[in-house]
Amino acid sequence: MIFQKPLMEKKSASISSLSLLLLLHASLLPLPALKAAQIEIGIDSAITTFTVEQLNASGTSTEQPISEQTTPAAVPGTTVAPVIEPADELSQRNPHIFTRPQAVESVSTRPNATVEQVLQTQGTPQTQTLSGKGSKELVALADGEVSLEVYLYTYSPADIVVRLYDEDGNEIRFDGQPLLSWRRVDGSSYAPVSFKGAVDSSSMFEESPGDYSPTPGISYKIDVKKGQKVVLTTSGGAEPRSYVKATSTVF
Amino acid sequence: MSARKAFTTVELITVAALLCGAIALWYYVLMQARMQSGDIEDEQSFHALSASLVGELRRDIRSSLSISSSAPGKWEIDTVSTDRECLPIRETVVYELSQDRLKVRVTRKEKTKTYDFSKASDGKEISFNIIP
Repeated sequence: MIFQKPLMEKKSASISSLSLLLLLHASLLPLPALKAAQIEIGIDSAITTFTVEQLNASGTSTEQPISEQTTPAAVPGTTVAPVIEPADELSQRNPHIFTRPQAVESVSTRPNATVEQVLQTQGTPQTQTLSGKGSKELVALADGEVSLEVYLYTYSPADIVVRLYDEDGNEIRFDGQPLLSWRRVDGSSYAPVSFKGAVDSSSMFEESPGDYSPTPGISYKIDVKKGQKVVLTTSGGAEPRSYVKATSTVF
Repeated sequence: MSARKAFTTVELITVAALLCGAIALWYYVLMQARMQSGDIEDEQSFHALSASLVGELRRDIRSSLSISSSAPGKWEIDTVSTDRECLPIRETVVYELSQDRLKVRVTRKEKTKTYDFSKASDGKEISFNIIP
């Protein structure tokens, strides 16, 4: 073993010199095909550049023929024996393991319900109210209808925005706008509600010539799916009497 | 031998002036520290947000067939991916820098996700560019 050491050292030295040559050769080779794009992002002059290589050659991915579905081939000359089910034997020998006590039976009529579903009274609409300024998040526990009632009373710039997010957390926008947006710049200008990208002119009424006020009690209905999130936000100079109410059986 | 029973006016004014100076100095140091702390938080927010954006963009570029710029500050990336049945599908993802240069919008399958840098950059315009 002792006289093998110089041989091993010589071998490892030759391998390392070969790898060094390969590395040098590879670094000198131009690789235009791997460079797909550069991303530049930053503030002012402090810009960071990222180079992204493209893994797939351009135009090849979709042009490849789709292979047929493969199925496992049958193995010839084999016999299939029935699998012994040990659970049967176990249940015969130890019936107490597989028998549920009578005390456990019929404890709940909704054995698979979540805590929220158990605590919530079935079928009773619940109203979540955001008064004044702030933000509130509501997650739908089931598919259903949500009624949104909004009232924005202000003397200065103020906003009410209701955003709808899908199960993945991406905002669902309507013509590039949130689900509901209401922006008033002062206490008298005409500034109607925009719901699902459409302006609702009935959301404001002319109290006196040139003096517009918000219509109390206006509401809008949407259908939400389980897992979607509704975020209510009131900001700016909204008076405390402003509110956003979300009424539904799904919250 | 006369015993002093109270401070003179000059002494009181001197002490008050020293106290005011000390308070002003302490307040200045506090404000400086607070501003520096805010700057660090903004910088961290910017890096976190930009890393998320770059990560998403990197995935799209790596599965892209073509990258084109349809308008200044707007890029369309033609990507290819697989559906649930492992069949290839093509999808166009649009990255767009907003007019105020504070947000980057990513539109995919008619859903728009917005990366809002307005707070993280403290209102400063950001630079965002994709060079195919």
